[in-house]
Amino acid sequence: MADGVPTWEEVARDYGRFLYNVAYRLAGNDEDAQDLVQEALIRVRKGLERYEPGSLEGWLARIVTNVFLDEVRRRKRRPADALPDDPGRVLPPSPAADEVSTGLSDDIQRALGELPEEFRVPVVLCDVSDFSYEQIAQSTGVPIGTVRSRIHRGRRMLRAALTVEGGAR
Amino acid sequence: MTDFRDSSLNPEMLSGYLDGELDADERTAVETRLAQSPEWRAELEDV
Repeated sequence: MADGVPTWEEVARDYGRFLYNVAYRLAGNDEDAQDLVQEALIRVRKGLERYEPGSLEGWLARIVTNVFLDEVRRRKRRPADALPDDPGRVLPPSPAADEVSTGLSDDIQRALGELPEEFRVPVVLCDVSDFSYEQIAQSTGVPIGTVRSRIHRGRRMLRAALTVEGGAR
Repeated sequence: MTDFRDSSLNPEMLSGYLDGELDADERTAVETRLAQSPEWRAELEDV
């Protein structure tokens, strides 16, 4: 790494798992996450020329997020491109506990994956990619009041799912 | 000063409150409500 700017090879080697983690949390399934990482690495390669040393993980997370949002918008415009069994909402299968390691506990990742996409996406964008509500509203094309509501309800749903799984009640 | 009726003040604002996403008027209104309402305080714990 020269002057804090990594080479593309270094990013691919050292941050591939990080990119996958962010992608998986957004997409909720392995196949889409893999596609997101591949596309993100292409953008990383182009973007490294302009990258100024700072928070590399934050920069990478934003790239993955933008790839994801572009794909969401693309699917909305051309629903025929969506997966054949997609009813318009992505409901990902829960992975086996030993299949995926995303830096979150298995329980949290499973609960996150089970959220409907319209709740999971704003929660992940806020808590993982560190977007402001305004940025989430602009990126996803929903009003900010809806973003607020979905983040709140999404977090409550996560909490409820984790409490049930913990059997604490 | 805006008169906040209950219907415009929604517990779903609590995530926004925790994330620092509310404007000054909204924050004041939420904090006032929290001081008054055990239900709101319970909701805050939940998020």
